[in-house]
Amino acid sequence: METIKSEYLDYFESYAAQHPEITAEDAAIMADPWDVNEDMLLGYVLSLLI
Amino acid sequence: MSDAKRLLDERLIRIEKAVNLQKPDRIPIFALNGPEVAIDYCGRHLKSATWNLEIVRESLPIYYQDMKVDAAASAFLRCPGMYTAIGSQNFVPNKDGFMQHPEVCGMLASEYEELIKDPFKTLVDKVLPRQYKAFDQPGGLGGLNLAKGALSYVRYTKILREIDAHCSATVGVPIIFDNMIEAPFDFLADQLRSFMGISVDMHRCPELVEQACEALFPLLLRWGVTSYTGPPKKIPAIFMPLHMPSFLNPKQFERFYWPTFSRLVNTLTGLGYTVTLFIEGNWSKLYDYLGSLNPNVVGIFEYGEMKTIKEKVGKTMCIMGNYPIEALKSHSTEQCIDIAKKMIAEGAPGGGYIFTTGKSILRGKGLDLEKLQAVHQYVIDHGKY
Repeated sequence: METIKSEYLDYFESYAAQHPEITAEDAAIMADPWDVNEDMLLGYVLSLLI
Repeated sequence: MSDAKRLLDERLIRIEKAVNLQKPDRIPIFALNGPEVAIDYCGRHLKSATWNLEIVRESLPIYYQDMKVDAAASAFLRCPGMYTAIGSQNFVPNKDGFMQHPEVCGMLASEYEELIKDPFKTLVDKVLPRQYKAFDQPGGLGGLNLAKGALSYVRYTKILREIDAHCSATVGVPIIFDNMIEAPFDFLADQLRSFMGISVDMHRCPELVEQACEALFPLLLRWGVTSYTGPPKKIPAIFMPLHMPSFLNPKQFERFYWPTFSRLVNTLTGLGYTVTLFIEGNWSKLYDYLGSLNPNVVGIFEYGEMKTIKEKVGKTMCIMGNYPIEALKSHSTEQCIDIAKKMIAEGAPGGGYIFTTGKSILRGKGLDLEKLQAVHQYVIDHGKY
């Protein structure tokens, strides 16, 4: 499934860009929970507008 | 096995066969309504029920059982507990608690470029604070209200899904829609640009309208997938009400609506979902488009000639709807049954047909629901394959 590109989503990507100390192993551990949160937020915002 | 479980299994098989364009044992009957009519039917007070969902839990199974239906949509009720807490402009309760949707504009024409560049950010920054005034408060209050809305949303959604499960467990009525999304053009029109705004935009900035639909497409596709419960299944379906096409001319439909709408439906069905379209208004000029959608689509038709609908789209699409609820107000029981008789004679042959009304029954007032019961009994008695 395509990732939604938005300054207000893609949290992990933005966070990782500011924290060069994050390793690939860290990224594998951290990225998934971020994605779950993004989908919940997307659902909440869109549901308010239909 | 309990009676409710046996009924649930029988009804699911009946519905699945119809959705797969096969002939079930008899024509299935679907309840196209919101919880409000069930609350009216049970003599309960709507305003109280929208704040106390226990009343909905008690009313819906009684209504489904008395109306002798084989399936229903997931309970969809706009709860004022959430909408009033976040200062909603786009959904407001009337005096007796029924939620109204006024014409609202959440995005200015000058903001198209921002929407196209980053749709989610624009929805959050520009549209939400206009439609929900409590988000536009200074300091931390706006953020606190946003969280309040999210918590209410999660709470009410959870209770409504529990009510669905309760209906299946107690009266054996399967819930055959899971989540709801919109076509990109409808999403843009309904609460971003408004009916008036989008009508002007199609003339003044047509390229921006096209690009906005393209920008919204990935959000709506992702939402369709991620808000569905579990992996893709044939039943329950993803529900998609279609609002604007009957107000567009065929050229506008082809240019603005069809590209992202058809791609959204075909992508979802390609992933293994069934998509149920509520085809609002008269689409008689657009049947060829509908007939060209990939299979695994169910169409609920509000208007149109059942014979023509069956001929034009029945080879690929399971057909529902079309029964005029106005008849329940003005016609005799015999006349109501005669309409159903004609409708099933045209829609049912060969299978792929589910009986239901053309409009969602919103309220009990003014309608004689005993006539609907009589019509449903006729379909049960005479709708065997």
